Amino acid sequence: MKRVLSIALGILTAIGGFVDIGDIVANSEAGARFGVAHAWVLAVGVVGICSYAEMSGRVSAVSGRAVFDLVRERLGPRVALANLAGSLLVTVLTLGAELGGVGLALQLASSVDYLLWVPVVAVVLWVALWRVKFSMLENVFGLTGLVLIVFVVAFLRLRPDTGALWHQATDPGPPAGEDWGTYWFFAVALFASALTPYEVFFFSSGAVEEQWTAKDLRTARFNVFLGFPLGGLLAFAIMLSSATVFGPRQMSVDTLAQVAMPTALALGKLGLAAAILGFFAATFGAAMETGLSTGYTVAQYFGWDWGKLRRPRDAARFHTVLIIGIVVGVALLMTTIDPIQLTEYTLVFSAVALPLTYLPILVVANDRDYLGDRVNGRLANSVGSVYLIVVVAAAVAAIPLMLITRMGGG
Amino acid sequence: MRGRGRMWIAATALVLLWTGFAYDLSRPPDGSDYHRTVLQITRTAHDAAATGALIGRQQLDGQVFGPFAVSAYRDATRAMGSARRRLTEQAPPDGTSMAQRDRIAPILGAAADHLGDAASARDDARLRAAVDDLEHDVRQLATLLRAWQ
Repeated sequence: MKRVLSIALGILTAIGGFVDIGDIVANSEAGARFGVAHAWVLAVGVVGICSYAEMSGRVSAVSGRAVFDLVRERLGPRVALANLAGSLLVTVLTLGAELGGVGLALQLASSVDYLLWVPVVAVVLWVALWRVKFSMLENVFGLTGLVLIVFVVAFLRLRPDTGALWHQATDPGPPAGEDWGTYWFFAVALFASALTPYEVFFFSSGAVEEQWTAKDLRTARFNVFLGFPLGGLLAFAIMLSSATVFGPRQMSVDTLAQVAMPTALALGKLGLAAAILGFFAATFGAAMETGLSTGYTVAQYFGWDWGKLRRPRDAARFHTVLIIGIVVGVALLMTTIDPIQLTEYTLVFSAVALPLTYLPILVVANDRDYLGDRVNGRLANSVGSVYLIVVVAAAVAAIPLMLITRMGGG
Repeated sequence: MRGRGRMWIAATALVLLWTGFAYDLSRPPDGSDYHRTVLQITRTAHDAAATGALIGRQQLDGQVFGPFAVSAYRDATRAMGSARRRLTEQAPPDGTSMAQRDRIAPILGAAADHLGDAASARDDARLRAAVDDLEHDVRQLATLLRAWQ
């Protein structure tokens, strides 16, 4: 039973973590404008997040402590502060984007403007994080998020031109009317959406909350290597269906309603309802994870008591940070910034902050004081090092590409 | 180099970068800037009109429910409105730019009207007529895009 529950954590992280508003938006936008010419980026992102999530899960399971906690101890308060600043900024921005995503999903179902939903969603999120059991949240949102599989079914029903899609995937590059700058801008955004920093912090802290030990390592790996590719598959289905519907019409995607259209075209109202439910579950699950990650990172840096499983009065500062994170997220949206635009900006800043998150994890995962003989092997280090180079390249390129392409506008 | 020296270099680089960025944003647009803006406007209008047409067809086929259609039309109308606003906000710097503006402006106006017609259509006949008009607008905008790209 315990193993089944642990696997549920992986699925939750895959759906709410991998498929969040960033993945939904980035994959659909890229699919509409470039077909599946970015499929390789998604594959690279999935392997990267699997590699680093496995490391952070192993670190937590063996040491019994969360990665961020160890980063401060191992690398000192200065490096940890840089890590904290980068990941906290991105996590709070992501939290705002996820809250906006939930609001947009509710708008599609009700036609009531998303801004009216956002405060309601924030209160429900806070109550859920305060009162509802961790396992309940996992099961409800993990399983509901799986309805995003409707995009796989929709893609198959749309009678796609598989030859053209295969050609795009195997001969990647910008189609006519697009340039290489925009192509690489979307590549960086997609890569960042796959490796969002909060995912590893949530995974690692969740492992501590669930009291994983070295005995749970096999389960942890099962979760990572099943959960994240599953999330990647759903993200790829969104890209494929977007490419099939919008590519031939030479349309780009700028709204969540457009992202859902392929399901309506292929499956009618039922498919559309499933897509909207999937958006809701994935974004609410991710809002939950980013909200918790906000509290986790700050509390772990300052050495406060933390944890969803602790009573709020026993971890008052952790819960206060969590509330502040939610309030800041709501305040961001109340500036009336479009949640889709907020998501795009979040992905760019996330790309910039990636090295601050992933370098310390690689260092800690090689420390025998914490991991004994469970330190990274040759394969994990090789993959981790290659990814570190890719992550640094993405971080350096993100802002110039954003400026040159005017946020991918061309 | 000491910490203070490094800080000065970083601050100077930041100020220079910011100044360059500010100059780039505030200088008056030339013909190629205007062309780029018009292309973006045309693309936005094309996507908004195509979205309206797609939603209209889905409504006629009974594939979407009311609240979703209302939201999708609202998004498309906002996008079309922002495209029209951008066109009026920026003055064309030369004759070629003026010709581009004069070519696109009436199509944007018509597409905005047709989008409104589709969003407010009370029966299938009116919706079908609005969708046909929108599809015509989409074709015109696509032709302009191809010609100007």
